[in-house]
This record gives sequence, C-alpha cells and structure tokens, in this order.
Amino acid sequence: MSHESRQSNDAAKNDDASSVPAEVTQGMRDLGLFGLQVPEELDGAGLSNSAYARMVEIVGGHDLGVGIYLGAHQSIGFKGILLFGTDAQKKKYLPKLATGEQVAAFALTEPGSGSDANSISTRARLSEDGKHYILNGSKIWISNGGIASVFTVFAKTEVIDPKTGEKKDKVTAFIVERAFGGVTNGPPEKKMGIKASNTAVVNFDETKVPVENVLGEVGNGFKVHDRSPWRMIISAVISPALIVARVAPCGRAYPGCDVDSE
Amino acid sequence: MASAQRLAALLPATAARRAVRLAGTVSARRAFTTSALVRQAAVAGSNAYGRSAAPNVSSDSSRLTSMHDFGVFPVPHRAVLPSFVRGLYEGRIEAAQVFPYPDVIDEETRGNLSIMVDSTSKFFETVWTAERPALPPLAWRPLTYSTRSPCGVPRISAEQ
Repeated sequence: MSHESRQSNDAAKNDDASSVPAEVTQGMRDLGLFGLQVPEELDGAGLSNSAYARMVEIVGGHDLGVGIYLGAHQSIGFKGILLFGTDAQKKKYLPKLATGEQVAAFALTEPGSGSDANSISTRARLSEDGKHYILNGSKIWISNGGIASVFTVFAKTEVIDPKTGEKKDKVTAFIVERAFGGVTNGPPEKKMGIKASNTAVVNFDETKVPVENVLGEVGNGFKVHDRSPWRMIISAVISPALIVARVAPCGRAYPGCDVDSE
Repeated sequence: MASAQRLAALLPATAARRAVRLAGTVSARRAFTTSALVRQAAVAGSNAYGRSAAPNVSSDSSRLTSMHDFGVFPVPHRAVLPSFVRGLYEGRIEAAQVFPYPDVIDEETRGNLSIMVDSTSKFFETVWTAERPALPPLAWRPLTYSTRSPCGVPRISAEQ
C-alpha cells in the first residue's frame, strides 16, 4: 500500500495540479479531519480549541499544503456558520461540511482591499421581491476558492438607519453556495509553497442568495469578520512556526527529516 | 546604579526600597550583579509581604486586581498559595503558580484526542507522506545536498 501510494503521490505532479489527491481527501474524511470543531450531533468531532490546536499541529507538521486546505475549510471557511449561524443554517450546512462532502472557503480579500473589510467593493442588493440578495463582485486569493462549494462571502449592503432614515453601506456576511449560480473561479494561483492547497480568484456575477442565508444580521458582517479571522491568524501563526521549526532546518516536513546527503 | 533603579521600579514598594538601599550600600560590583540583586530583592519582598497583608489584595480572591494576580509577583497570595521563590530555595517547585492555565481537556477527551492524534499521524506517515520538494540549502548549513531535485530546480551543492 505504501509503495502504491507513493507512486500515486507524485509531489511534482501534485504541485502542478495544485490539488490533494482524492484518496487522501477520502482518508481525511474517514479520520474526521474536516469537522474537528463541529458538534458531535452535527457529525463533527466536537473538539475544543485546545484539542483542535493539537490536531492542526499534527496535520500542519506533516503537510502544510494539506494543513491550509483543512484550515481554510474549517478554521475560517465555515467558522462563521459555526459561530453565528442560526439553527436552521447549522443543520443545513454543517453535517455535509463536517464530513468533508462539501468544502468551504472564506471570501473577503479583494483586489483593492486586503483584510480591511470596510473597503470591499463586492455588493449585495436586495431583489425587488425581497427574497434574495443579488451578489456582484470578485474576490482574490481565496484559499479553497477553486474547490469549495460553500463560501462565507462579505459584501456591502445598503442599510437604512431606522431612526434617521439615512442610507448607509454596511458589510454583511452571506453563506453562498456554488449551486446558487453565477459563481466562477480562476485557475489555481502559482504559489511559492503550500501548493497542494488551492488558491484562486472567485467571481460572483448576479448570484442570487436567499435572505435566510445572511450570516448574523444584515450590516453586522464585522462581527463575523472580527471573530473568524482570529482563527485564521492562529492557524497562520501555527503554520509559519512549523515551517521555521520543521521544514526550514531540514528542507522538508519533519517526519522524514532526511536530507539527501551524498 | 541606573540599572539597579530600573529594576527597583519593577519590584513591590518595600522590596524596591530594600533593593535601592542594597545597591547603595554594597560594593558597586555586587550592585550591578543583577542575579544577586534580584535574589536579595525577591527575598526581601517575600519577607515584607509575609509580615503584613499586601495593600492591593482584594478580599474577594476570585477577582483579578493587579499584576500580582497574574503571577508576576507570586508573593501576595501567600495566605492562599506558598511562595514560589521560597519554594525554589527549599527545593520545591510550586507548579500551580507557574502553570496557571486551566486544564480544559478531561480524561475522556484526552483519550479520544490521543486516538485521533495517533491515527492521523499514522495516516500522514504511511498514506500521505510529505514528499515535498526540498528547499534550497540554507546559508548556514553545510552544502552537502544532492543536485537532484524533485521539482526540477537544480539544488546548490558544494561541488558546483
């Protein structure tokens, strides 16, 4: 089996393909690695933050690309649903995400806007019948952007102040499924490392998002943004620490640590 | 003397006075020996607080009121916890004072986690081995790397 998997795991090929092989993804599904912090009643492993950190350490220590793939999925991708989703949203999305049937991504960054959520230009306008938000805009450098079927998307929406009647643009978070239509993505970005993880441009063109897919409240996207990226920062801190500690000194991830010394 | 004063500013008031006095009286060489100063000041502080209740210790011990509560200075809780520094001199480590983090993982979770960690490690060691292309050798390492590279980028070697 080992020999076979080594043959199928051609590193150079994986780097070109910028993807994790299907059998590896299946293995990680079986291990429950896709829903480490999802409650057990929603098919997750129900781990605490401490236990989660332990598991992230194992995955990141062995393969950072896979670590980013799983981290972008659960550390930020569907974290908003876990933290701020309604019961209905949780029941609808989390079981499939926790078992790895679907992959999630976190779509915030735009060409003209880094992590400053207030300067995004993606817009969502309420449809005339009031049942949908129409989403338009484009996001860049989205981890899992090319493979995800569920996105946490941040967009500006027009909010009317109930007291003054003033119209203001506020950031709102949405759960967007690829199946809603109008969601396209670019080719995998050519990165310097962690190539097995997918990073891509994601475009939303007149995507119809049902109003019940608003995450948190309309105009309250900052709450989702402020709390989710902390997890991103934590995983971002963990991964470079592992790069420095385990990859850099020996040239590859630690389990082998076998430098070709000829 | 300047460094002694800076150090004194970090210590509790009584200890600070003692530290400054020490620095002023003992020989200059000894005053600048930080370890000696810290040791003396720490012992001085422990004695001072041991005799009289520290002014900033609230009666409600569950509330965190000052730097003392975060274990910066272990002494004010002497009534509740034994002195850490004194413990060092007596050959004891007051572990409760240096590891203040709550143990959030109970035995059952710990067991389950250990099973997950083991199976995941095994998975990554046998099925998905991280046979990534190695980075070019770092400047401070001896250049004894192979010129063969899985990603096609020639590696630098000592022979080249």
